[in-house]
Amino acid sequence: MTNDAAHAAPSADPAAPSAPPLLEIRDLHKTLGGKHVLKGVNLSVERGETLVIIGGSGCGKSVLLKHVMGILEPDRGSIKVEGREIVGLRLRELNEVRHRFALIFQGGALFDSLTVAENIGFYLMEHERLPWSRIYARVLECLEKVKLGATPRERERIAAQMPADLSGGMKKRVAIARALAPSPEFLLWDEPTTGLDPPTADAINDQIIMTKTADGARRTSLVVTHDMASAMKVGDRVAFLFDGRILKEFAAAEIGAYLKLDPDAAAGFSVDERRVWAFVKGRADRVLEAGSVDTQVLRRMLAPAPAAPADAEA
Amino acid sequence: MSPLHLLGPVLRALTGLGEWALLLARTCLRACYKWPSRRVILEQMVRIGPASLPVVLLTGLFTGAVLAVQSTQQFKRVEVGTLVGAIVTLSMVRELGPVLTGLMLAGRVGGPMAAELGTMKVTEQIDALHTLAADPISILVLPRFAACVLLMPLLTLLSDAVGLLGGYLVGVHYFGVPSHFYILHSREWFSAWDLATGLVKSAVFGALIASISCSVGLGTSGGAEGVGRATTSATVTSSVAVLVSDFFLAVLLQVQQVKL
Repeated sequence: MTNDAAHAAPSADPAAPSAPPLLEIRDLHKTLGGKHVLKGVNLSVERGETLVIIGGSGCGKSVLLKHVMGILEPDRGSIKVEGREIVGLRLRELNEVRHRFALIFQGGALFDSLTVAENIGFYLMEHERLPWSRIYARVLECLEKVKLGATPRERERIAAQMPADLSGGMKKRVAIARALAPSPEFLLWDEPTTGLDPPTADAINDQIIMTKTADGARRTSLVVTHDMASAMKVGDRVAFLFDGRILKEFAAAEIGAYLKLDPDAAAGFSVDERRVWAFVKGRADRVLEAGSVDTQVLRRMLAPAPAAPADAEA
Repeated sequence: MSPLHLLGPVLRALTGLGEWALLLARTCLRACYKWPSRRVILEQMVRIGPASLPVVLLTGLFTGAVLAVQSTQQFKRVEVGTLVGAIVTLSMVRELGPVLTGLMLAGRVGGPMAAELGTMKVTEQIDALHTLAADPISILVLPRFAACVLLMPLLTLLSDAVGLLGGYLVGVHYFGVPSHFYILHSREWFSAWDLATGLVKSAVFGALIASISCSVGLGTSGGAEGVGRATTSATVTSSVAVLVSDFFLAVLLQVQQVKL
């Protein structure tokens, strides 16, 4: 699977060629429950692009997203939005950033005491003080956008349902609708296709692509997933996160082209005797230049005994 | 067990105490500048009140009755059986009404409150509120806090009333204390200060139950097991807080009464 032309290349704003990236993370560290989860993450996301972070379970993908939304504070490091540091901001200033961002949680995180309509219209009810009739119209519009309900009557029926009455795939779509309702600039997706059957997962991937241009906006996305097929389909760039740090970034088109040329090609992680690799492997097992970390260093880092110099990466 | 082993639970308890104090302070601060709408508070009161009412009324009725049983027998020995009305009234209004209502509410409301917020926490609904630039304290904690503080005195009044009724029925109809003397002594020994004492205590208990349960709920971690732990912890901690604070309130209000 490859990216289509519409979202193949990262596109910087031509009006402001020297503008800072929309999101820039430098040397981010976080320890949770005694475990060093993030060990110096560095990445940047340009306006209008979709960056996919791919990594295994427990490597710190969701924790990274929560840092971007200001739900977690890093132990060390910097997170800048358009050049403005958001670590240590006061709640009111942080909320200014949150008004521009939206996070779609892995399990949807729908408010289970509210109806689907109230969930989707929550932001508008809280911040825009619109009459319910206008909010409801926007709710139905968002439901149509995420392809829930074929007819207006069907959408009204779904809007009146409680989250507990919905299937997993429907919950994900309602969560997407809730995120789209305030028309955010930047969407963060936490494992959007996890736990879904392949057709539903593919439909969610289409939704991610759709949100890039929904409402005529040029939306930026940061997607974390462990689903390589999904990463290839939705991403402009793919960054490999392993053991709390980014091992390597690829242009998704580069990986995509490889996969197209060679049906046996694969992308992912590999561990040999000396190093852990983030790779794209093609014909005759040729490995595109890939980022890696020394396994000895990893073993020391993961050992439960007194911590070795954890940040001494090879 | 070495002292170091004891350090963990002590530190956890201190951390919990600090988190509760912070939440209480933030809730009071929010209450000062953004009081929730009447509709939101009423919604919470409707959820809390009817759920607690049967257990509060039953507890009050039988506590008044058993007070009359115990005290009438003892008082008759020293030939002051007619004073039973006074002892039932004062005990119920000043002490047993508020404390037992508080304990019932801690079990009937505190646990479910912690479970609800705990479930929201482990299913990332609290995080979702943050991402929508909404304040979980204003939306979730303050309405529950206000509902408990307003509802506890009302429930205590009802508990007192049925407690007095239980005491009257047992004292007058079972032990044969003359109705006239029962009522006369009750009114003679009872003052508005006694009622105020009970109501102040009950409002404080309501504040403690809501703030502790919300604090425990919002601090939940560890999935379904964590929610179970939070529910038990909220019930036990709220109940203990009601009993401990009752002692200090009793001393404080006694001192105030002497001053007045």
